[in-house]
Amino acid sequence: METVEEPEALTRRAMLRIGVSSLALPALSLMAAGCRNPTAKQAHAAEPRTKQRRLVWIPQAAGDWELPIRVGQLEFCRMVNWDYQHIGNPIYSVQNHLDQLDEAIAAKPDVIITELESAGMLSGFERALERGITVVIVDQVVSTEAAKLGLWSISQDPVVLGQLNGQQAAQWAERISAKKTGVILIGNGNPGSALIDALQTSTEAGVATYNRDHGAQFTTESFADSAFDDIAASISKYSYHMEQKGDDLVAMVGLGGASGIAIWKTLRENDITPGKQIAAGSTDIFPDQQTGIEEGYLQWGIDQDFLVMGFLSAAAAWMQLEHGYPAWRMDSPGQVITRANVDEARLRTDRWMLRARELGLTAS
Amino acid sequence: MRKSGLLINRLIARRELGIVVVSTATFITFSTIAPRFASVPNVLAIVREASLLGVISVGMTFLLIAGEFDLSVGANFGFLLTCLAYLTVLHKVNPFAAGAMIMLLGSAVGIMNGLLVTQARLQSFIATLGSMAILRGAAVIISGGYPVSTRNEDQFFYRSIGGHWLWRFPNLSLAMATVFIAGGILLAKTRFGAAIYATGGDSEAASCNGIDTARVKVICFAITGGLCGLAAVLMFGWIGLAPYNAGNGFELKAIAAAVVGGTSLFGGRGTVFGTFVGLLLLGMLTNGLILTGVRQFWDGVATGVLIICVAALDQFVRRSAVMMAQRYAMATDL
Repeated sequence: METVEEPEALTRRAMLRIGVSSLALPALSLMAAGCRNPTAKQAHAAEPRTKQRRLVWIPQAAGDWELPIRVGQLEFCRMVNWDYQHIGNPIYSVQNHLDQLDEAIAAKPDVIITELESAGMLSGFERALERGITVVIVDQVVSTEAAKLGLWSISQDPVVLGQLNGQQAAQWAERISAKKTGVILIGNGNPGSALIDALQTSTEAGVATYNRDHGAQFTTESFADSAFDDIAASISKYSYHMEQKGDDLVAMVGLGGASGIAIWKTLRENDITPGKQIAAGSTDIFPDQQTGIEEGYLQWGIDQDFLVMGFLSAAAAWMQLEHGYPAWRMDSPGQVITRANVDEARLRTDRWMLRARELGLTAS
Repeated sequence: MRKSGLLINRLIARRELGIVVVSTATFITFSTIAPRFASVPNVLAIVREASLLGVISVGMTFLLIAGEFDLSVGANFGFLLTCLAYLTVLHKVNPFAAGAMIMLLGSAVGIMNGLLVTQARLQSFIATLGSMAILRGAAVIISGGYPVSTRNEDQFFYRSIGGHWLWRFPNLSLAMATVFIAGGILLAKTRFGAAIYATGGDSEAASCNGIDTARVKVICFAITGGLCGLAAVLMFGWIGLAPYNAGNGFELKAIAAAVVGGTSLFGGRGTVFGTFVGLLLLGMLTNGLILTGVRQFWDGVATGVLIICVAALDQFVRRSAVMMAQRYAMATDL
C-alpha cells in the first residue's frame, strides 16, 4: 500500500539555517570586495578613461631589433589598459608577413602595428583598413604608400640615418688609415628590403657628401653580406673581401642587424688591431655591437631608438582612436654612439632588457 | 696482373676521382684569375668557413649512405646553439660541461628522428621535416627571438676554440679535420661502417645477412644529431653569439656537399673523403666568385650553375675513366 509523506514542519533550527544561508552570500561578497588592492581605485582613477581595446603587433621577423619595440608597446598598453598580443613568423618573407597580417585581420583587433617594408604588403593593409582596423606602421615604411593610405608611421628616416652612417665611415676611414682614398665596403644584410636598400643608397651618398666637403676620394662597394641569415658565412664573406682588396680597403660598414657584429668578429678573426688599419661601424647598437665598440674594433654605431619607436607606435594608435588625430609621420632621433658615450647606450640597453625579462618577453 | 695496373684500376674505380679532378681544376682556374685566391690566408679562410658545415656533413654522409637523410640538421644546430648559450651565459654552467650536455641532447634528438623512421615507419623526409619545424619553433620560444651573446671570451673555452694551436690553422678547422678522419675510419675500416653500406645498398639483403638495419639507421641519426651539437659548441666558442636562426639552409648545403662528393642519394655509396672534397669545392666557389669581383646577386645563381656543371663533369670524367681503365686492362692482358 502506498503511503503519502506529510511535509516536515518548519522548525526553529531550520529557520535559523535558512536565515544564515541567505546572509552568507552577500557577506562573502562584501569580504571579497574588501580584499581588493586598496589603491586599485586610485590607480583606475588615474588611468585615462579609455575603452578596452586590443593591439596586435606583427613584426616582419623575429630579431634583436624587435624586442625593444615590444617592450615599448607593452609599456604603453599597460598604461592605458589595452590588451596586447604579439604574433609573427620568425622567418622573414613578404608572403609570411602577409599571411600573419591576414590572420590578425581575421581576429579583428582594434589596432594592428606592423611594418610596411615593401609594396607587396599593401593588399593586406587595405584589407585591414576596410575592416575598420586602425593600422600604424613602425620601423620600416614605404613613405609614399603610407601617405596614400593615410597611415601613421613611426620610423627612422633612412636618408638621415644613411647620411650619418656614410659620413661616419668616411671620417673614421680617413682618421684611421690617414688616407683620402680607398674602398669603403658596405654590407647589406637584407637586399630587397625597402628600408635597408634605402639605407645602402644613403650611406653611399653620405660617403659622397664627406668626399665633397673634405676633398676625399673614397669609393664604395656594396654586397649582400648574409649577416641577417648566417653570421658565420657573413664573417667569411667579409674576410674574402678583405683578402681581395688588401690595403685598398679602408672601412667596412654595416646596415644594421647582425652586420655590425659580423664586421667586428671578422676584424678580430683576421688579427686586425682594434682601431687600426680598417675603420668599422654600422647602424643599430645592439649589445654585441656595444661590445665591439668597447673593445675598439667598431668606431661607431647609430641608435635607432627601437624602444621609443615601440612606445610611440602604440601611443599613435591611442591618439588616433581616442582623440581622432590624423596620420603623422614621426622619425625617432638616431644617436651616434662611439667609445665616448657607449656606456650611456649600455645603460639604456640593460634597462629595457631588464624590463623585457620582468614582462616575460625573454629569459635572456 | 701488374701492380701498376692494380693501382690505376683502383684509382679509376674511385667515384671521387671525378670530383678531385674538378676541384683541382677549379682551384687552378680561380688561382689564375684571382691571384690572392691561392694565398695562405685565403685558403685558411675557405677551410674555416667550411668547418661548421663540414662537421654536420659527416653525419649527413652516414645517413645518405644508409639510405636516409635528415632535414632537421640546420634547425637542430640552431636549437642546440640556443640551449648552449642559455646554459653558459644565463645559468653559468661550465662551457665544456654544457658542451657535453648539448652533444648528448643532439644525439637524443637524432635518436628521436631515428625511431620515428624505423619504428613509426615514417619516411625520413616527413619525420625530419616535422622535427625541423619543432626545433626551429623551440629555438624561438627559448630565445624569444633574441640572440644571446657572451662577453666572457677570455675563458679558455673561447680562446681554445677560436684560437690557433697548429701554426695559423684555426682550431675550429682542426676539430672538423678530426671529425672527418674519425668518420672516415669508422665508415671504411669497421664492421659498423660495412653495415651502413649494406643497409643503404640493399636493406633486405642486409637484414637477411643478420644486420639490424633499424639499429644501424638509429645510430646514424644519433651520430648526426651529436655532430650538430658539436657544431653548435664550435660556433659558440668561435663567435660567442647564438642567433636563434643559425643553421638556416644547412640541411641542403650538407646534402649538396655529400652528393657533389659522390655520395648517392639512393644509398649504399659514398665516402667521407668525397664529402670533404665536395665541401671544399662549394667553399671555393663562393670565395672565388667574390675574389673575382662577381657582384652580389649573381653569387647564388653562379654557385647553382657551377654545381650542376661540376656534377655533370664528374659523371663525364668517371665514365671516361672507366672506359680508359677497361681499354688499359684489355691492352695489358693481351
